[in-house]
Amino acid sequence: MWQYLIRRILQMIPIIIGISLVIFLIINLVPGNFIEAKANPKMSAEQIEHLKDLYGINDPIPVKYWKWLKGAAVGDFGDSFIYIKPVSEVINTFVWNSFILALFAFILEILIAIPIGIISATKQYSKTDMIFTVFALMGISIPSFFMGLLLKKIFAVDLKILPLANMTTPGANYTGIRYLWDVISHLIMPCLVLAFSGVGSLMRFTRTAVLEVIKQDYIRTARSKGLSEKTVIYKHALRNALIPIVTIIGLSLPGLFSGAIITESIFGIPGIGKIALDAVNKRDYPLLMGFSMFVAVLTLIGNLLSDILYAVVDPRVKLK
Amino acid sequence: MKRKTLLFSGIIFSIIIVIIFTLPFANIKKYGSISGFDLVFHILERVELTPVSGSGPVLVIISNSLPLLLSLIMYTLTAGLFTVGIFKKSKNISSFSIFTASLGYVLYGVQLSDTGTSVIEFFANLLVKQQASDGSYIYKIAQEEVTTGIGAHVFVIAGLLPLIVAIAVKVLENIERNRQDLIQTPWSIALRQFRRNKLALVGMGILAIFIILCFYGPVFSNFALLETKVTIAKQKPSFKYIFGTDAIGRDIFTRLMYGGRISLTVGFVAVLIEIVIGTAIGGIAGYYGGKIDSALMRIVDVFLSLPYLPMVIILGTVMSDLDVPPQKRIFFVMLILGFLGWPSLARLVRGQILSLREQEFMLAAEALGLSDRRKIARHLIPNVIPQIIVSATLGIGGAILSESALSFLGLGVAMPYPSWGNMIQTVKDSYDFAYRWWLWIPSGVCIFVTVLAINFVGDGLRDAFDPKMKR
Repeated sequence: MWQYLIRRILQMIPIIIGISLVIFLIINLVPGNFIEAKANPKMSAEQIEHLKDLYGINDPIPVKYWKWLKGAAVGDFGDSFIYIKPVSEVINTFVWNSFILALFAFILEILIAIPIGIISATKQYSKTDMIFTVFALMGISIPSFFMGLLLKKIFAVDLKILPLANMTTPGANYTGIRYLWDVISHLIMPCLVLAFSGVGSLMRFTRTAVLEVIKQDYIRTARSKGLSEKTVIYKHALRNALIPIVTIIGLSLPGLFSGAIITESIFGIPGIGKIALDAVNKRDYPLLMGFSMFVAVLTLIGNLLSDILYAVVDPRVKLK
Repeated sequence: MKRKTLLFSGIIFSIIIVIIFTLPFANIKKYGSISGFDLVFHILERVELTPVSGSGPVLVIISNSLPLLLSLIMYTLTAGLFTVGIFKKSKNISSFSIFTASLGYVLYGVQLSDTGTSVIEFFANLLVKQQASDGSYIYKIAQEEVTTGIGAHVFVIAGLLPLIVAIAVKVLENIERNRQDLIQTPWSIALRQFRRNKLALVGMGILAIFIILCFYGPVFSNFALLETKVTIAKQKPSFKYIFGTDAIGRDIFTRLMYGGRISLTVGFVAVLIEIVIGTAIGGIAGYYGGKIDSALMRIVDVFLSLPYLPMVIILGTVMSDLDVPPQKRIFFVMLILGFLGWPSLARLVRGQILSLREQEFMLAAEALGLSDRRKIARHLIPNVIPQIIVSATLGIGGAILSESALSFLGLGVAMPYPSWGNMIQTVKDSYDFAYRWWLWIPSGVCIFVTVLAINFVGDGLRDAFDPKMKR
């Protein structure tokens, strides 16, 4: 097990370097830069050039990459141009807002998707199954920005029962329970958007997993023993169906930290996704690079985690 | 009975085609109308029109209606096939006529989508002929008000009739044949499974309606795509403007149809790029295995771990910074989405081919001494096609969603060309967002319904091809 883990982590290193190279090249394809994006019109061309030198923008790409790689190896991802702070510190500041939002959304998603997936599977091809399938596919099909805008229009503009944007009411220094309620009321709509878009795939996945198990011989045996349908489904089938579901949940766990660019921007949540979009607009390369690498590494960790979880929950699987 | 119907419809169609092409295809203000035959038989030639009143500059029309001509040929062939169908009893006639009729209709759609600014560009370029001081002629781009004529309107509707008749004949034939003998192929089983899936059929219907509306609908609209009239800006939906007008007085319904054309095309082409790259790389990796496989798969791993949306957004920014002109941005969006989308397909194809490679029929192919290329293209790839179709169908929905998000952020398809995503950008104006719903809700609903329909179809296809899901 440990051997497997160490080998997997070692295998990740060349992939991480490859990813960093691709991301670095793509980011440096952008001809615009931070200084020109926010340049003061009073500055002379010389001053601009001087600033560019200071920020290391004028270096040739291989030199820039080598500098970045050397720094990254010891955990230094450079300084963000916008915040004038180390990138890791900026990410650490904003990632928790994203995490709270994503965690609530994820819990909501699981609470909706798994039950309706199970019900859909046990009543395959029935009307209920069809309605749930349509519901799930609707979640996959609606653009998140459009759903966010619609919710904002209905609940914040027309009904005026939820706040329009931000994570807390600006200027209001609530404490205790009122603060908590303030944050929750701000998070309801973005949570709904994120959860609804995730429900679809998780529900379909659960449905398929349960269907596969229901066709097995031991389920027939359980039924012919005269067990009630409830016991058959929830005691015998569900436990085995949960194996792939748990792996897929493991796969998405690190993703909770990666932020939701569009949803966060629409609702003005100061999370890592919104920061990343700002970084794109203001050409803050170090922050953009740090963010992209952060998300890529999270994906890799997710893959690893799901493989390990697969072995943990299913004794038939042995990792070599 | 059936033969008589065919002969009858063949003759009717020939007459309809002749009528359609003698009717005016476009009406030009002050210059009268121009018929379909004028356009078709003067391809790339100059047709000169004098004003009806007699005074004023001569209008020159350069017809660019090659697809229209090809479409006419296809329809003539269809009518011919119907006529042949009475004398010869061949099973293939109905299949052929479905093919020619649908190709004719698609070609007409190609003619319609070959458009930029005004209605006449469907069919021709308009120039004004003026005599310069030294006696030579100079041509200027004309600014005439042009609307589509009755001929084009009839074409869009009547063009579907031969297709419907041909499909009806085919279905009748199939019912007859099915009574006689029943041969099951994997494809016919899949087709039967698919037909039982109500959601998938509903999805197909919705998708067909949207495609016809977006690619053929603008013919019926008399509002030019890029023409602006500030005096009628932001009008509420009314009988004349079904979804109202936008911030600079353009008819939103017309823009929705053009935008759908762009969004759908981006989705289809992006997925086509994905399929080509993904199948090639996956096929090569799976077939050769060993070092080639592990090298290619490391590349795939790298691309799979790239964060999708951030990369799309960064590439969109690259496009903006390079000052790509709006007409070309559409193609770059397709390339970006295709370029980032292929790795998952490559992995899928590789996995399938790895398992297929070990089966007996590949041993037989080996024993026959077939070349590598033939083995991959003729024996391995066809067995992966069902998975590719399913993944591509779902991929189109995903590509349309990504395009809309990118365009919504202002980094994808850019103004003045509409896409469903960039039309929602009007919400940046908070008053429009709160009180003028018709500016942004219709296009959002269009994205939603189209992608939902595509997902219905994709889901149905997945079940249809999956032997475990048999009912």
